[in-house]
Amino acid sequence: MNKVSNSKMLQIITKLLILIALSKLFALVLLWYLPGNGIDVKIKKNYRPPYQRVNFTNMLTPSHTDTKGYKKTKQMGEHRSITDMTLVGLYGSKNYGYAIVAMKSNLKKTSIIGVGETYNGYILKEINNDNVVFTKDGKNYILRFVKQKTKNVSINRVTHDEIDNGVANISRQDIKFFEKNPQKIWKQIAIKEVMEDGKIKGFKIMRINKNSKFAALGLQKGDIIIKANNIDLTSYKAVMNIYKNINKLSEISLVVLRNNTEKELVYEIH
Amino acid sequence: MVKKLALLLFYVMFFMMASIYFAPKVNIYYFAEQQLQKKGIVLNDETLNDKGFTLEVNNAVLYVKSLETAKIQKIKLNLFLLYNSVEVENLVFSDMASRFIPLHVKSLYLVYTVFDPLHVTGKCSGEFGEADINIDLVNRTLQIVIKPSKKMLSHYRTTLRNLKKDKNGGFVYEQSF
Repeated sequence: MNKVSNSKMLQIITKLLILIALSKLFALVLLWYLPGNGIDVKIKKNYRPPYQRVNFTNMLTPSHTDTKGYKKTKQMGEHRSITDMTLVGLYGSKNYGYAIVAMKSNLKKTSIIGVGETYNGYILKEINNDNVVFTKDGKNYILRFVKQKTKNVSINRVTHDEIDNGVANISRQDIKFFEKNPQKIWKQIAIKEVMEDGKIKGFKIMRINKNSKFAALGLQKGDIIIKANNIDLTSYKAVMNIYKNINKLSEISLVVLRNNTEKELVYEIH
Repeated sequence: MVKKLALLLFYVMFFMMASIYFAPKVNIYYFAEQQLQKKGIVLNDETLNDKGFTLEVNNAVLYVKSLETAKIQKIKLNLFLLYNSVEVENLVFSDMASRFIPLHVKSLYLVYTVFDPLHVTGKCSGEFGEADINIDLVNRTLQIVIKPSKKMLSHYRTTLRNLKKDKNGGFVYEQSF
């Protein structure tokens, strides 16, 4: 027994076991400081841009919405105002046209509502000279058009581009051409992300060829594209989602920051 | 004396091998994932397999800045302290890249050793051809020299036109980080 305990081999084995114990201890200490979970990306399946534009053609013809159930308003005194909504603009008269409305809490987020369409549960029923009439649960509500208020509230309010009364056209052929030849895009325009507090704020146009298709669309050097189809362009993913779905779209709206003022450019794809 | 030194070296090597074997490789991988996430790089849906001395990552989906960029069948991480390597098998880029490069990369092999501590070197092969990779850790630059395949030369000339041509007929891609 004494011989065995003094043997060289046993000493070596003992030392190796001590080293194994030490390395295991080292691993356990390391484990204490390391994270226990990995990173997972949550992916939205079947993503489609939530943008919806009003079909102007439908607005100029009687709405398909069943309005038979609504009683025609005879006296203005019967109506009540909707306090948390504001009327930014309107077009049309009586049963034709649309209204641009926003919530007072978020005046920058405007919505275009056609006659017969619903906004926050209120159905747009009628358009007058300086107000629109909504209905809800059988009751009529007036939303008055107050120009001064909207001007005062938001200095940097979204303004429509001057191109063709705010709506410009894009040829689908052009889109297909650029889809097949993406390198041609970067010959005409150069875009770089703009970071703010470590996050992407938008995409700045660093260079634009004056004779390019992009310049013809009203884009300018220095513009920061912050939204496309009401989607905040705060990631490359958002941009690529628009790019991937562009064939499915019939309209595109871009919100650009130009001279510190938001400007909305609306395009119809034909 | 020589015998004692040899024994000491043996003990050191044994301790290192035991440390590598017992190292929480999965957790080290999670830590690396967290660091890569800061650069906008995330591997998703992967299955991890600790194989003692190596860590295998199977069926990963690579996201760069939240964009699905590639699917990777297998990544083998060999961390031997003195000699570290990453082997990637069957990487397929997302369809979005199909107009810029051929999608299938058969293998990618990156090595970092203490004998060349300032560089990470590697080789890559796939439908695009073959490539030599050199990462300069001091100057923080990545250089890839591509020897294009016939497919790359005939179908992806636009991509190659954006790269510098070197004396040996290769195409050089350089990027700093």
